[in-house]
Amino acid sequence: MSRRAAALLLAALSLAGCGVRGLSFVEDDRVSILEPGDRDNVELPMTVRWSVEDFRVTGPTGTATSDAGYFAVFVDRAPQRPGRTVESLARGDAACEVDPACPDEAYFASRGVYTTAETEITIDFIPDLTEGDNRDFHEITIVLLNGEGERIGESAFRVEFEVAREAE
Amino acid sequence: MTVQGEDATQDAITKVEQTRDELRQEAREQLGVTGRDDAPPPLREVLSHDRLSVYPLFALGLLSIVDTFQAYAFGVLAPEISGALGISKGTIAAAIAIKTLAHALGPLPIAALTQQRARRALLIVLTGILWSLVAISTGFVTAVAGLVAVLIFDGLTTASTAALHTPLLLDSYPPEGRVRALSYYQGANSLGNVLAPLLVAGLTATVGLTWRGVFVAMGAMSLLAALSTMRLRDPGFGRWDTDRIRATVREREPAQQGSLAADGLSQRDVTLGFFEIVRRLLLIPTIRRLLVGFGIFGVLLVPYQTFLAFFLSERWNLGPGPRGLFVAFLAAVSVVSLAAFGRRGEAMFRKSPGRVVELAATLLALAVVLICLGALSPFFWLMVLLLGLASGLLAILSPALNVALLSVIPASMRPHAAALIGIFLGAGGVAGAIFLGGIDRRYGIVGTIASLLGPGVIGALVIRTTGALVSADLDRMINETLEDEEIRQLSLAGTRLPMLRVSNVDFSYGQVQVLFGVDFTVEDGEMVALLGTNGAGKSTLLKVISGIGLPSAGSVRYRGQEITYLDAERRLRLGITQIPGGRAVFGPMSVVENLRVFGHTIGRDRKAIDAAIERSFDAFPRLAERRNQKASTLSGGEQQMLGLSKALILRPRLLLVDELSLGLAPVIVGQLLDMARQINADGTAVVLVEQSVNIALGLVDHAYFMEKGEIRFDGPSGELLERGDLLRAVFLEGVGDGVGNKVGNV
Repeated sequence: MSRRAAALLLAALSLAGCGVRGLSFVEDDRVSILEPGDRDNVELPMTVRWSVEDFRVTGPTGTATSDAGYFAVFVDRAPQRPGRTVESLARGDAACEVDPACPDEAYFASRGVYTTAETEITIDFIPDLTEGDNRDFHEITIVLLNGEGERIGESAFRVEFEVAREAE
Repeated sequence: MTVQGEDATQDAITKVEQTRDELRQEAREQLGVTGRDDAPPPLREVLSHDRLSVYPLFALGLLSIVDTFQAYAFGVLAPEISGALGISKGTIAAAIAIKTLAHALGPLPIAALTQQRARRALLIVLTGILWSLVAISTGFVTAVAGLVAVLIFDGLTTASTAALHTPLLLDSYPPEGRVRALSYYQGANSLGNVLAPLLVAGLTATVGLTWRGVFVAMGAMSLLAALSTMRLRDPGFGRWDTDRIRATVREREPAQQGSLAADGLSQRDVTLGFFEIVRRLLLIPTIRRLLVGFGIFGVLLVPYQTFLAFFLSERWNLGPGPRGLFVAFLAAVSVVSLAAFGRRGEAMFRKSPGRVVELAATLLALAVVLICLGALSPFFWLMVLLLGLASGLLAILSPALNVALLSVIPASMRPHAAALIGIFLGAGGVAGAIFLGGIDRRYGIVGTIASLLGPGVIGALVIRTTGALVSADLDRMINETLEDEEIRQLSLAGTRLPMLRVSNVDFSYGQVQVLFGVDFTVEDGEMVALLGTNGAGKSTLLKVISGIGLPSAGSVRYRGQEITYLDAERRLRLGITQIPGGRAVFGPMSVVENLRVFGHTIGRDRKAIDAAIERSFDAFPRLAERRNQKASTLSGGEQQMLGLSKALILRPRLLLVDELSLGLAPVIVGQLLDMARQINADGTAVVLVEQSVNIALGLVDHAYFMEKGEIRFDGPSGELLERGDLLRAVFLEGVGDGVGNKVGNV
């Protein structure tokens, strides 16, 4: 390997560690998902319920603190990056960008993204993405948002479950 | 030759063959292949006999264990990474695919770094430290770019395990203990697969670390392990193989003191480069066949590991934790299986290396049947049992196939062979993923796992057919080393060696063999005619000498060194030039441009090239008159003059001229032959493949006659003229064609 290539790789690795503030090395257990249980078999509509500690559920207050705010729930998709709002997920969506009302609640719901100041949420529809005889597993991820709607830290709380569907 | 003389020659040949057979048998024993059913000595005895340490095995095993950590951690913690960084699973999958590519291709540059010098240990330790630092860096990644960077770097650095670990092990331990050394090393690798899930589970569930914490902790452990291997040293290439074989020659004939002929080439001149080594490896039947087998094995193995997780999840509802335990269980079974195989495999290898390969094929077939039954099993514990057994059988494949494959090639080429294995496995894996992905959509996960039976059985059949090739390739490797050492000893003893010696060369165009055990010798400054019937293989022999064609067996030695697999352009620089049959010119270019192109092969010294061009014009004034004319517009004779000018410019040590007089008027032929004679008189050895028997034999003292790919005559040209039995075929063929004594070419 040439020295130049080695230097480039080292630079890339150094960049990997840039912005090391706020990295989580120890598990965050402020949120516990109570329902569904891990790998439970559920029917739609389903309820997702969780408990929270050391975090005040205030809703979107417009102030950014790391110990108060509300929740974003994601079905079968990755959340936004730390420090970003859920609206950032709509960036680059040409159809949405031309509509001043977009993104709205319906837009996010159709993409499996919900925000709530409660500790439970009901989900009516989850698309069946399976083919053949594969089982219909899905995943829900909950992240904390501050009063300005920005994701707090890297903490993400996940649960995997199976959707039981009626035979068509 | 008189009858008595013929008898004496025959006796001498028989004695040489007997000596070679005895040497070969001795060499086979030195390589651990006794051919007997005897049990191998205990490993401890083998080590103490040669005062060897277990440290290399320990160090490489340890690195193999920690190597599995990051790969496992990344696979199992991908959802957490996705959630934390806000990166989609698709992006993570793409990043992992890039890493897999880097890991598959990485062994090639790593192998290239070791081909000139045995510095495998240094590279192993260095890459071990680097991948540990990469693992620690992974814990600090905050964006996709960083993630891709650490994955690529991880793929490249961990590639050293594939390229270097096994070759270094083979050079660290004598053949009597190699199968066990490889088995225990593979066992260590499996142990890594037992420890990695337990470690990840422990660090996350018990210590409460996030994925970042896990990577930092595992990277730190890996770094400690890598630092503990710093005493690893490279024992050099072939300490227990080629060196031992050479020693058998020296034991019979006391080692000669002295130095190699000053005129001879140095080892450095003929050391094979990266692509030459790869090409040479692909000419070995065992390697070729086993690589295909590894490719098909990849179709089975790589997707199996992926689809197994889905199978356990969907069919048996196992979450990540239980799946990790299941993988650990499979790896634990592999450890036991490898421990049990070591000594038995060693005994089998001693009796017949081919049988080890055949055993591997049988185990592979059995394993895929068990996998298939396991997939269809309605009972969980029966599935566990069947897949466990399959895992135990599959684990044996690696040491069994590696020892066979790497034993038939010189030690310095083993990193390249190991790298090729990785590439073929990877390519098979990609094909398998596509193939099984389609099956999964149609038949579900159970059908996918069951469908592994197809590639598994085909792979087993291919590998099984390799068994018959191993012994012959082992003998070929031994023969090459014996010949090299014998010639080295002769050279040291002051024996004058021929400038060119082609020994026992076979050559095939695809499946059609055209040269059969050809021996051909040219002395320094000699002019030799190579004659033969149409399709006899004369031109093919020239291609083998000039490097345009590579033989499937045999050797080409030039100025004291073997050049059999050297690139044609390197041979040109060493003084071998071929003027191909027909019009050997670039038609659209002018005469002077053609000459300048010839000149560029000797360097960019414009003055030297201009002087060489002037020499050509002096020799062929007609070319000077047409210096700016396109070569395609020259007459046939003038084009041949231009072709022959190449020799005047390059001034080779050995000139190979194919069909110089083809279709030319006698006057022109006379001029060209005069020039060939002059080139020879200036010190260049010339091999003349000539269509006219009379012309050729009038020009040279030494002639060869070829027929159907074999040398039928080698001796003074005067004697060939008396061999009506040979020449009749040529003359009659010529008469039949109505063109006189013409000989075609192949």
